[in-house]
Amino acid sequence: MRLLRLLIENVSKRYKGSDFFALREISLDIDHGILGLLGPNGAGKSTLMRIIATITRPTNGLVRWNGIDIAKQPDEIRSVLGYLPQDFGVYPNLNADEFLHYMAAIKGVDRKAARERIEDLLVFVNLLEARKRPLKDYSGGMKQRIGIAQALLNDPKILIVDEPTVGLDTEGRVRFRHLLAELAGERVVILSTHIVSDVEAAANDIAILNKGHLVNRSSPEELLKLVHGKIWEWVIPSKELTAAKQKYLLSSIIRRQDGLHIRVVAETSPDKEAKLAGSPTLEEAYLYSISAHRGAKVNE
Amino acid sequence: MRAGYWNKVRTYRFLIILGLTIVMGYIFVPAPDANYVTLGWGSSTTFYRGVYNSAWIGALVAMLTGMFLTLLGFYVVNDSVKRDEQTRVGQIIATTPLRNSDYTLGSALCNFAVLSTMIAIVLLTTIGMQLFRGEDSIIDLWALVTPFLVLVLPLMFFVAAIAILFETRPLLRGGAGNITYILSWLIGLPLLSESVDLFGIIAIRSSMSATGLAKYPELAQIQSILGLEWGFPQGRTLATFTWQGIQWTSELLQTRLLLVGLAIGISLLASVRFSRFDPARETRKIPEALPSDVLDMNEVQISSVVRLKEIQLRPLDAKALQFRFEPILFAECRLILRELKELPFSGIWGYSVAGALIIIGLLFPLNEAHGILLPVSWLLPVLIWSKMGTREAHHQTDQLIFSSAKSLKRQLPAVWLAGFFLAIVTGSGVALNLAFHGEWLGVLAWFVGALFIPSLALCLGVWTGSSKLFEFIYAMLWYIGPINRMEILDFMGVLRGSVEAGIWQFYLAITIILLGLAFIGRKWQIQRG
Repeated sequence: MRLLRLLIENVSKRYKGSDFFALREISLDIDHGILGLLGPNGAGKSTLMRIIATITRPTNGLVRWNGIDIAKQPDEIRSVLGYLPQDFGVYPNLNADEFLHYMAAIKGVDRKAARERIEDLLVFVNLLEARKRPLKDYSGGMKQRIGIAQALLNDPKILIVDEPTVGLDTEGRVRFRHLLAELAGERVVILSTHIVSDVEAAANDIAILNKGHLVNRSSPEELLKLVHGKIWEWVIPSKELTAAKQKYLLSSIIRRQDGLHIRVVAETSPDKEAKLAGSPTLEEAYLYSISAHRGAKVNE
Repeated sequence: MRAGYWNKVRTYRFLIILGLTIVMGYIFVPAPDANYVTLGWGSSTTFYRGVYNSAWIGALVAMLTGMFLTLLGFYVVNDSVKRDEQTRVGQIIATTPLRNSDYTLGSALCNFAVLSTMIAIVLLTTIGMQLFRGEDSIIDLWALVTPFLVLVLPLMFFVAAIAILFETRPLLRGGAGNITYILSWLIGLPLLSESVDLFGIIAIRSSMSATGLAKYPELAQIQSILGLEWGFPQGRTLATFTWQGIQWTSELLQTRLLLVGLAIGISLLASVRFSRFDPARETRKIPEALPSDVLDMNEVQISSVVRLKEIQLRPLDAKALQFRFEPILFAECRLILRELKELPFSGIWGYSVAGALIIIGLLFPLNEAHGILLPVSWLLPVLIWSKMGTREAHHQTDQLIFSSAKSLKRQLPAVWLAGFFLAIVTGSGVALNLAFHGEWLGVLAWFVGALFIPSLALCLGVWTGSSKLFEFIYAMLWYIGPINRMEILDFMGVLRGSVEAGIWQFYLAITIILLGLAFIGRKWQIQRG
């Protein structure tokens, strides 16, 4: 198999004119497979994606693609990169076909190969019927699907997708996760999102960022072990919800006739009524990691 | 209003235009030993002007500021509605009880506040200028300030209102409005300053003249100067008189109040048929939901399984990933053709006009074709050229394009070539006419013009990220050069004098510099972080 390795070494990013660090000394060693990059808004996920995509440079540290420093030789990674940014635009007067041909030309895909590839991608993203409509008439979800298609045009060896399922319906999200799973074997895929279920379904490796720091890097199974024996559930009356939110780390609230069924992440039993819940979820493991990083008590 | 105000005064555009205005004001009040003059009366032995007191300097700078900012001030403030649209704040505004008339009047007042801020800063520098020139150290605030209050501020309100009116009329928005405004200013300015004394020049000069004549009766025989006149003879003596400022007559004040009333009327007129950010009232239609957008929960799982089996993304081999330039050039040309749809006169009508101009340019007598049709042919595509270098930022495709390999060497030349082809095609009728008549020097000058236009557009687009500066500069060059027959600015080579003088060589050199700057600017854009 061809060598595929992305090495992120002590990467920090500070924006000009500010003391704020969007990223602080992030180090990651990534090879083929899907890395799920999780974190709340403002964690630095998109900044890291932009650095890897060579849109912006790190303030400190290095990123190497197969041993080559991408700050010095950005075309080495650009030539094999597929990138779906979190926010992107399209040319409103082109239709989907024309826009994808434009992007294929920019990426250096041969016209005949581009024609076939675009046909496949339009089927995949379910926009075949809309291919001749101008992009200015597209809804947000349709535009997102065009974004996914353009990221895959050049059959990339490294695929970076930043919040890719925003605006997609359930079917679209399932299809996208399956596609990622198919592609992952021979590629480096980095899926950046705040939607834990997307990562849960697709990734074999998870990195959690918070406030620019790398909080945790492990497999989904190891992450789940962190919260084993720490998920509690019981029923509270509705009027106690506000107090419960302030006191505990709530992972789930379900309203039923007998009250609010809540699940809480805590080191020890938080209430005499609480009993240990069944299998913890990845979302709970994620919440636990973020809270622990913030220094919040999970055992109030 | 406050948010809109701060948005505008915190821009580079505001600072640059303010800076230019202050510099122009400084230049317009020459030092006593300068070798140029700007306002006064000159004979062979003597130059007469007022002492640089508050009245004289205040009036001079106010006149200049009024003229300057009626032009450039428009471009500082003509994006209020556009900003509300782009930020989607407009959609929130649309849901409030705020009436259209309140919105447009409020936006005009906001624009006026921005321009007034510029005036206030210029006024402060004018005080400094008087002290710096040192002829009269007594600051008479009333004499200094009143020309700005009475002459300039009403003008600024008028410009503020016009800017809002343009923004609320579909045909006058964006580039079309930018070009229309500057051409109106260039053509209308001489008419308006004579007929209605828009800038107060006639009132000021006649008042100054009356004071000067009282002290120097010989002024009646001497030509007055207004504007830059170089080569002030060293032997001439300077004769000064003390002018105490203009007498504000009720007639003068009424004209200014009329201007304010007109501005209010225009602001309210702008609210008529204002779309109120309703996309259904724009040309774009709301898309109907396609079957794929409709979620049927019962069929999700089955359709997912069935559909996934059909998806096969064929891998690409190395041969398919070898870059060729023609597809990207073709794609850029197609992008330009699609943008023609955005022009006020688009579709079949626009293509027909362009086609007709090419044919007429070929068949008409050469002088008319060259002197009239070529400038017209090379004015129509200005709104396409002005987008060169700005599309990526404007449409937010920069992340997609700059993360692709070698975009500097691949995409940028294609953008330029597409603009160059547009110039070649639209001007081809005249070029062929020149060739048939054996005017090879004219063909060469025409060709350099076709190189120069997209280079200017690309360079300014890349560096400013906006189409405005190119639209402004191109309209000025176009009007003053080929239309008003100023040879040094004849970048199209339509004037026999400029072609024979080899002016095209000058533009060829500038073209090379512009292309280099465009390349450097784009490289910086791609690399910055």
